Amino acid sequence: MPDPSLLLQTRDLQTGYRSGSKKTITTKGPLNLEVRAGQLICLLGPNGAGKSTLLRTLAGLHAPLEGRVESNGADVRQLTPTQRARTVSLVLTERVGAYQLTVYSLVALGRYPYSGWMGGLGETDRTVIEWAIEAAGIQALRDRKLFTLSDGESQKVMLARALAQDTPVLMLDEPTAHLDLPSRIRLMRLLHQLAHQTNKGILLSTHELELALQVADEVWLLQNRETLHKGAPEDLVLNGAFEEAFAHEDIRFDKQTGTFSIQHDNRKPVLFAGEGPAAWWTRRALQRNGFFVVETAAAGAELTPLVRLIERGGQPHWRLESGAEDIQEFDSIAALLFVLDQRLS
Amino acid sequence: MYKNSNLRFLFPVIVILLVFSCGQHGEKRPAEVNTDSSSFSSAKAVIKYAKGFHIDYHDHYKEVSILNRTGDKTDTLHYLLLPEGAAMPSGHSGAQVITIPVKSLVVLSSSHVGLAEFAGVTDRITGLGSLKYINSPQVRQRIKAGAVKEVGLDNDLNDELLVAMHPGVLMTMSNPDAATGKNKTLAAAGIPLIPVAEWLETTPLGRAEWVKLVAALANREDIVNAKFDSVEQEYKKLAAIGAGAATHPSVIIGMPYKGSWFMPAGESYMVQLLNDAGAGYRWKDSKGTGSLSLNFETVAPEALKADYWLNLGTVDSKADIVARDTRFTQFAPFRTGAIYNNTLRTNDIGSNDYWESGTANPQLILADLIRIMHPGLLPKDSLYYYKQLK
Amino acid sequence: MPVLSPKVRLTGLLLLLLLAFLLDISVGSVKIPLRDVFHILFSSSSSSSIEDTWKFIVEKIRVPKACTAVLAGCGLSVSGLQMQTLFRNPLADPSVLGITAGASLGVAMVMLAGGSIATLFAIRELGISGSLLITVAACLGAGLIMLLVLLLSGRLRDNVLMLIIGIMIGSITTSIISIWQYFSAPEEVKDYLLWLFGSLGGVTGGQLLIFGTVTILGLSMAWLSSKMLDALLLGENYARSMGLNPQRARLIIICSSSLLAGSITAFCGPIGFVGIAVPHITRQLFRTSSHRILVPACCLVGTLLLLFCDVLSQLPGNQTALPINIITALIGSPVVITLLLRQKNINAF
Repeated sequence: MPDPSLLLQTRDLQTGYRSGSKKTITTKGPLNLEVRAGQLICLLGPNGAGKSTLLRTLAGLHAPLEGRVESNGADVRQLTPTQRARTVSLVLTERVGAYQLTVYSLVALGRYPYSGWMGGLGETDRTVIEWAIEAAGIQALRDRKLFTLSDGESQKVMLARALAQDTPVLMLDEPTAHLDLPSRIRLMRLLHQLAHQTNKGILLSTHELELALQVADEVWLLQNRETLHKGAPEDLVLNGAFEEAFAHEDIRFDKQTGTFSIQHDNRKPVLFAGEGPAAWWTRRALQRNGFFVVETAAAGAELTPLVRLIERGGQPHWRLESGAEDIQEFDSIAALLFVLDQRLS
Repeated sequence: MYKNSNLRFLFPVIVILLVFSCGQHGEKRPAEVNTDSSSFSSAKAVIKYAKGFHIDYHDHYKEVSILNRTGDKTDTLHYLLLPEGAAMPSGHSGAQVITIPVKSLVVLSSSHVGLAEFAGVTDRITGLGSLKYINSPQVRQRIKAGAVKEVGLDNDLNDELLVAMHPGVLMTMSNPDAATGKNKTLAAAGIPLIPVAEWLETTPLGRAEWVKLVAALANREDIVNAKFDSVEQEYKKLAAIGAGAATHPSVIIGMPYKGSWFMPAGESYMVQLLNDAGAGYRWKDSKGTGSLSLNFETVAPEALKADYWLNLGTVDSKADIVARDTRFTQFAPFRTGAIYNNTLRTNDIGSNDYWESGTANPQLILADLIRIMHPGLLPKDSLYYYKQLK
Repeated sequence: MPVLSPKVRLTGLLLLLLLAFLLDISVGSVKIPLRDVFHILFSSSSSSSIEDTWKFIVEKIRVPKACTAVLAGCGLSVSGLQMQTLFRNPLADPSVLGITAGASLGVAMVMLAGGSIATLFAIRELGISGSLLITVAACLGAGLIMLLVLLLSGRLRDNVLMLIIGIMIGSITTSIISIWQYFSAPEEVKDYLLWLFGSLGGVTGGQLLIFGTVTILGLSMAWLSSKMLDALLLGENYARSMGLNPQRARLIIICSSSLLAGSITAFCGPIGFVGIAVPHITRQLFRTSSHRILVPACCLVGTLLLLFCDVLSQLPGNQTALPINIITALIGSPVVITLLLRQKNINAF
């Protein structure tokens, strides 16, 4: 029995390009992926890993090298363009010209697969357009011209257009690319909400690892052209998939915090004692300056300095102990680092 | 009586000198009239109608001045026609020298072939601008025998070929110095260029009179003068008949292209012909020696009522005319059939003799026009250059 | 500018159009009183109170010319609109695919050196001559290039490539024509140059009928593909994701645009400027990107412009008229420059 919540499925998929007789594989696979209703899936991976190609292949715009993409059991490549347009809608990174279009007209274009042969809109069409405008939160922009909008606003308009297309699956290719941080957060949050409220299957490719980890129901992590890890984001963190995918001599994925830290040339050991948020930030500051925190003092001639975090008057202070008599206290990390640098360089 | 010893010595010397000079004269004067070997003809050409050139005859040479009109300026080109081996007369620096009689000439336009034919020197043509259109049977024969080379037109003149041929003179249509000075090569190679601008004349006889220039180049003034005189007399006789005609039927000329219709202007030679033929022409008082650029709407009222339609260009029948534009069927001359085109003497290769021999024989054209517009006024009614289009 | 609905603006333009048409018919080298013009147009009885010449002039010269202006104005503007949308380039115009160059090639072939063979062949074997020959040659030339472009469009995935190739085709044909010009006699070159100047006169009777039919066909195709054109405004990727078949869309647009541009060039010679300027003027006037409105609006604006230019071309001399190409450029350029300068945002295409 067909599973109504299974919107899109791949069988032994392998994506890539053909040019004449030459074949370029972008994802070896074989991939067996599923897009389910009500889920937000984030496609992550380093640049050049083949995210865009995979997305376009899943949307049926591009032929797979091997295998197939199915919707309701039918190969998406075999569907008519209209049928395909009623299955998957897209939001792309490219800038759209046609600046004389009003926001309403642009969203209305999303009804293309349903409108009359001259583009006439019926009752249903108008209702869906209104809903799309509201869902994307752009009611205030309805009658504005495209060329007067900011990047964030334009992106929401393109999202509204895709929503108006009323498809079970919505795909976004790096939708946060041109946006500033607040807009990025808002957009990801919006997508998460939409997935759960509209029961659509939303797939987006992004570089926003940290945001993705917070909103994605499922993550597809492309490691290189060969491997794709999939699962709940937390699972991929804990089983080391993230570390492996982004393994690089300059980068380290911190399982605990879910963040990436830049690996510095840390050669100077330092002992640290302290707890709480200030401790976390102090460790970061020390790492940034080329120190690495050790648990026990190294055996050897040189004395390892100790940084101790204390509280004084409700504010964190730092004490540098480089020997029994050599104790200094600082009220800022900058001051601490200044002296440490002098000491140990 | 001087029995001076000097005088006695001088006398025979003087006698000998006299005999000697008589003998020289005797050698110079041809024993028979052989135009090919004579270096100097005794006949002189007198220019009465042509305004574009002038010939001065001196003892041993001829001086030709050609009026050079470039835009508004007019200056004169000077040529010295010298027999071979003769010394260059002094005081003529800046004049180009042409050795006469010219034994070979290169001609670039059909009308000049016509002039050459009139002067009887087609056997001296060794080069033509284009071999595509030619009527003179003599020249066609020479082409077939390979005696005439194609040297190219205007921009396309084949300098190398011309230098190799080294003709006695190259007849062009306009001043060689004009646009680009491209003809420096030819000048450096010693090939004289002479612009034969008969097409700038505003009278039919003036146009035809340029045959006298060709005659001067070939030392055939006596023959050409006689021929031209008879042409002149015939023309004048016909013009008198035309002027005295009872009616002056109205005439339109040519065909329009899309919206533009070019009509001869009042001072052009074509209008002269019409006047001499006793025709009526709406724009005969207009200024200009070329054409008026009128639009279709301006000519239409005249064309709808005109008596005759002449010189239609490359159409050959009423069907052709309709194919150009269906509106022509409403013109009066179309309906009455009074359409005459100057293409009767078009030969098998599509070349129209009107443009060749017509230049030098305006009396034939005038006769045709009178016959067309005043039937019965002239004894014979058969046309020479014109035919009625059906 | 007051905010008027598109319908109101369209109606307003239609009225202006009628006025312009009447003006064009009333003005000419021969002074005909307005009353008589109306009489000739609208009264069916053949009244002898009006000179036959005036009847001829109005019916056979002015009315066909005005009709030609209407058809050419519509066709050129809509063709330009399609090209600007398809290539998303505000500088595109009907000649961008090389179609008009192809038409010029056909005409050059029968008018210039080496073409006399083609001309003679056509006259002798096919029995076509005169202006019909020129028109047929132009159509053949345009058609040939159109086929070439269609062939290439099937194999190219990118519209920008098409644009470049179209421009290259235009260059090649222009070069070939230049070679022929170099080797031609002055009279032939002059005839060809006269053709290049463009002319609205001379399309009458059967030719006008054919011209009208082809133009209406092209315009209908363009209007009926409004939906496709709208989708293409977002670019091919989005258009494809919305269900548009890009190959088919390109085919239809190229066909209709070529039909319009090719036939106008064949019957009137190459008329420039209208195709590139009118879509911009129309977009500014109507402030919309919807092609369902833009196509008819461009027709109206284009026709108005061309009729106006035609009236102007009669003014200089009583007896002569300036070629239409010169007027369209002289009038049109300042208009477009002014309109674009008033735009605060350069991006408003």
